[in-house]
Amino acid sequence: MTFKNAQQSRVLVGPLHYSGYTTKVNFGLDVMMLNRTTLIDTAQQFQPGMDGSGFQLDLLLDTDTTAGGEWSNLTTWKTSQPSLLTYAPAGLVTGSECWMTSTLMSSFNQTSTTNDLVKASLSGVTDGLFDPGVIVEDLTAITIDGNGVARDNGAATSNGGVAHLHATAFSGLTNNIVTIEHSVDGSTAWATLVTFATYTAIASERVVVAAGTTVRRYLRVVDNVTGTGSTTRAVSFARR
Amino acid sequence: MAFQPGYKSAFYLANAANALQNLSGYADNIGVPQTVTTLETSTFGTVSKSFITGLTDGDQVSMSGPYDVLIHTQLTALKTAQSAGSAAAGYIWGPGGSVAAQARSAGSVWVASYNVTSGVGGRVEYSATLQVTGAVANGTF
Repeated sequence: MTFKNAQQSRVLVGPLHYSGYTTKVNFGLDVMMLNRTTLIDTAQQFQPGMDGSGFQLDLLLDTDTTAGGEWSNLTTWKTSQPSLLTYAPAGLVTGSECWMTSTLMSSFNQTSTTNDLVKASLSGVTDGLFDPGVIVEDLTAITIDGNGVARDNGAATSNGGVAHLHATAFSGLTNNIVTIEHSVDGSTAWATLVTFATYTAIASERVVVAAGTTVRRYLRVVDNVTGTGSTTRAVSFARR
Repeated sequence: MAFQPGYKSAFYLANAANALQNLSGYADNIGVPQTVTTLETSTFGTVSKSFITGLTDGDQVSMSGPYDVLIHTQLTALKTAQSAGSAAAGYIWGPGGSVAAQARSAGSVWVASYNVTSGVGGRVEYSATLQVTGAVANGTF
């Protein structure tokens, strides 16, 4: 058993690393339970129905309106939805489990009292159910082209998946192209599984790998940078 | 009288492969209600209410505790399996532990909800509710 200190948890929303603004994060799924009890039953009988998931974030509010900051991200999220969100209860260390969602913000409350910091709370729902994934690459500063370490996911799967890219910093470079490659043995015949759009500033993207697609056992992240500078990005993948 | 401290309680839940898993080490709060519906049969002429019993059970088991990836994996896998049409998962509850002669309740459940929370200064926590379907069997280990 390896229980987790909440100080290890991390939250990424779009191109912003929210962990430094977040005091509490809650994610949950709910399944409707449909009563199918009939006259011949002596005990109540149920079967699962539709499901859904939602979230809540309690934040300290940075009211600086600089582009790319918390206020900018929140107000952009409100008008440009959904936004991708990755919640890693145990942190962004590679191989850690994470919740990957396409989120719709439904409530954005700001509070201010004389004896406390300005705060905000968000809540909303996910578009579709969350995907339980793993961190393939931690938030890492990239300056040159590179093939990431092969990550062993245990077994191949055959129903596609979802990939998240959060690029939270970008400076000096012309652009970066991030791809996820997969391999049967972790060392040979790497093939492209996911190609994220070329980005030239902080960015985020969610890519769905079609149902029925075989995802090989090993994954790695490949960066193809152009120019001189640095970008910081994290990548996660959920098999379906 | 043999009262029992809570730390002795035992809880088992089947995984998606239908193998019972001992989750006692992953929960610090479990609630296992057993409801019997009561149907009023009061009529004119009698001052005291009268009832008969109706359907039993159909409650939700609540469990919570410190988050661990094992709980996350088991509950999400059960959720996936039930969405694909699997049978409900078996559970066993031993309020006084799982040693012989101690009280034992068993039944089948669906995952009805699962939540994870991270709050500054605290531990990562989870909570889940499991919908009981069908009869709960009470006996002993």
